[in-house]
Amino acid sequence: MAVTAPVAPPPVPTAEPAAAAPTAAAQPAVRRWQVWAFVLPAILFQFFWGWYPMLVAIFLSLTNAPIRGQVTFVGFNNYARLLADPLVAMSFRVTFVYAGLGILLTFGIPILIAILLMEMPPRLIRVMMLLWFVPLSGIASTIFWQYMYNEQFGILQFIATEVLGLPPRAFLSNERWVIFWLIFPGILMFGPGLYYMTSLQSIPRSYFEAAEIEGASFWRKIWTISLPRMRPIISMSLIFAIIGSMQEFAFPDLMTRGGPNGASRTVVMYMFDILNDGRYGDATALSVMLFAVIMVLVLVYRRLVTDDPDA
Amino acid sequence: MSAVEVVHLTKVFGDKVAVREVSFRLEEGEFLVLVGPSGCGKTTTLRMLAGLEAPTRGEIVIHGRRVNDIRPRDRNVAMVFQDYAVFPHMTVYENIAYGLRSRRAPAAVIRERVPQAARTFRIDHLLDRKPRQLSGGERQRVALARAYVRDADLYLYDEPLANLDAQLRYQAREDILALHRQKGKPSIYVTHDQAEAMALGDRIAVMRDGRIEQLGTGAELYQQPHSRFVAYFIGTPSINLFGITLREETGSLVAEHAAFRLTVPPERRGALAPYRDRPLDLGIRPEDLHVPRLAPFPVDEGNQLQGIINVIEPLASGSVLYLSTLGEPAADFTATVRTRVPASYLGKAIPLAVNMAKVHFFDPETGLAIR
Repeated sequence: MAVTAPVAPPPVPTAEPAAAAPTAAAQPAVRRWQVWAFVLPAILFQFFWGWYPMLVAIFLSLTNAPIRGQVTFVGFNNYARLLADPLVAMSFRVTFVYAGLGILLTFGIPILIAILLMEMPPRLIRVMMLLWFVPLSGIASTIFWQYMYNEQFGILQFIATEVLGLPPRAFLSNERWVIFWLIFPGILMFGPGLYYMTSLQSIPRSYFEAAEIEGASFWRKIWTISLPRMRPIISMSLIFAIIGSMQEFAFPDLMTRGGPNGASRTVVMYMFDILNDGRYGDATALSVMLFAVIMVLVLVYRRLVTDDPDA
Repeated sequence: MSAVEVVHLTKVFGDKVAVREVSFRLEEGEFLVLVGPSGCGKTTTLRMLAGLEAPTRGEIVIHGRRVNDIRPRDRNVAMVFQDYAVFPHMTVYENIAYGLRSRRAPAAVIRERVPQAARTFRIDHLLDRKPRQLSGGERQRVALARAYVRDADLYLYDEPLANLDAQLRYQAREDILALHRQKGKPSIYVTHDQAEAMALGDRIAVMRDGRIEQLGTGAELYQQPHSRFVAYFIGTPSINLFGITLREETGSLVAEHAAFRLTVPPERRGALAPYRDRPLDLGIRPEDLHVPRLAPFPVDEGNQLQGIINVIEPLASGSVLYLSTLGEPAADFTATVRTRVPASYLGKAIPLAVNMAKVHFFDPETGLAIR
């Protein structure tokens, strides 16, 4: 599933190091001034759209966060109320299943497809890369999928019953299966395949030729050359996939509105519901909780997957 | 039966013929060098032998087996690439073991052979390192060790020394030769450097425009070039070429140039007679020009020419002189002499004796040597 735009939670600082500024001490005064002139826009951007909202959110989550009137400090009351709310726990469960299953089912496939596509003739590769560039409207394809999933007239029901001869199924209205069917389109829409293809193209041909002469089979070449060389881009894509899928909102909201019975209501969707109830303090507290969870996931990931200095 | 046999090998890319009708045989243990300027088809020929390019026409036979349609990994060849193609994400050990592991060699064999190959190339202390931590020369030796760790039927080298500096290059040449002798397998080596070709090859194939211009030992190519191209390509400094006209004068043939007249030895008369009064290219190797006093043959009016010294390059064994002929238009030429010529000779005209027994004549239209 494509990474949806983050809604309420402040952006998580990514692990990407800032553009390395030359060591300030060694620079003459004019150069240092120029360095700051180049870096300042990025810092201001980060501050106003990153750190400032994050700090404000943390502050607001400790207050009653009224639209107007007196701001009252309420300590951890908002958090206590959220932790007591079974729907919060449920939304976190849904989010974890959604993100985990989504990454499991959709993350590896584009990598494999990119590798297989690179075996095609050069002209076909260019066509494929162009196709990946074709802008697809997220909303349009979502509506399209709503029709596909329609239980009476949808094409998937037709395939299930008429082609495969299976009993009719309740795709999006089955509590056990709804998350799978929400993820299913993502299996067919090839994520960041373009990045993978460009990364594959940058591997020197002689590596594959040497491997071939040394007796490597097709799969061994993929396992010992392609995948290790793609490791940095795969690692980066996985971080973005984790961050993005933990904040899943637009697609499930349009498809199911969180139903049936909250079986597909993610944390961000629940946050949106709380906001609509006017509970701003609770909503910001939930966003801070989600931020903390994502932050922990990213830190654990960075600990487990170290940078490859040989990339 | 030859170890390797290449018959009428041709490769066409689109409308460009990269290799045309190349044929040669290679005996067991022979070291063949393909040499030529860039774009002459030498690397394409090598890649067809490795199986990395499919021949358009022709046959490749290795040990009696036609391999045209056999995948590279089933041809049992080993290849050293110009950029070494050492895998950066693997340690030196894993790089060397890669081919054995691909072919499912028993673990015991790998454990024995990999350190042994590393020792041969003096990289056994680097087995746990990644290529990033190695110098260019060490990386190149990893590539050599990877090629030598298994027993291939044919060893291929694609300009393996091109990215090394001069000092390392001599060492690496020794490494390649030593291991070639140890393995006793046919090897084919591609280079654009004729000095490297002369140093390594049992036989050398000079290629040009996709064809083998001449195939022979280094001495043959040097002493009996088939064509002006081979004569010019082999040897440093290059052979001096002069446009001359053959004249019949008092019973002997004279090579007439604006700046000199040289008498053709009687034994060359037979072959050259039909070219009387026609323009020819005369080729004189720089070392066939001698200081008259030290010439190993009698010097007379008929085998001398004059040159003005422009540059003197001292060598350990003498000097390289860069000269111009007298008169207009002046032609530049080179002479390597066995004496140290002092700098005071700069700008002065000196006589040089030509060893007429060793000069070459070429047909200016076909470029072929006349013998």
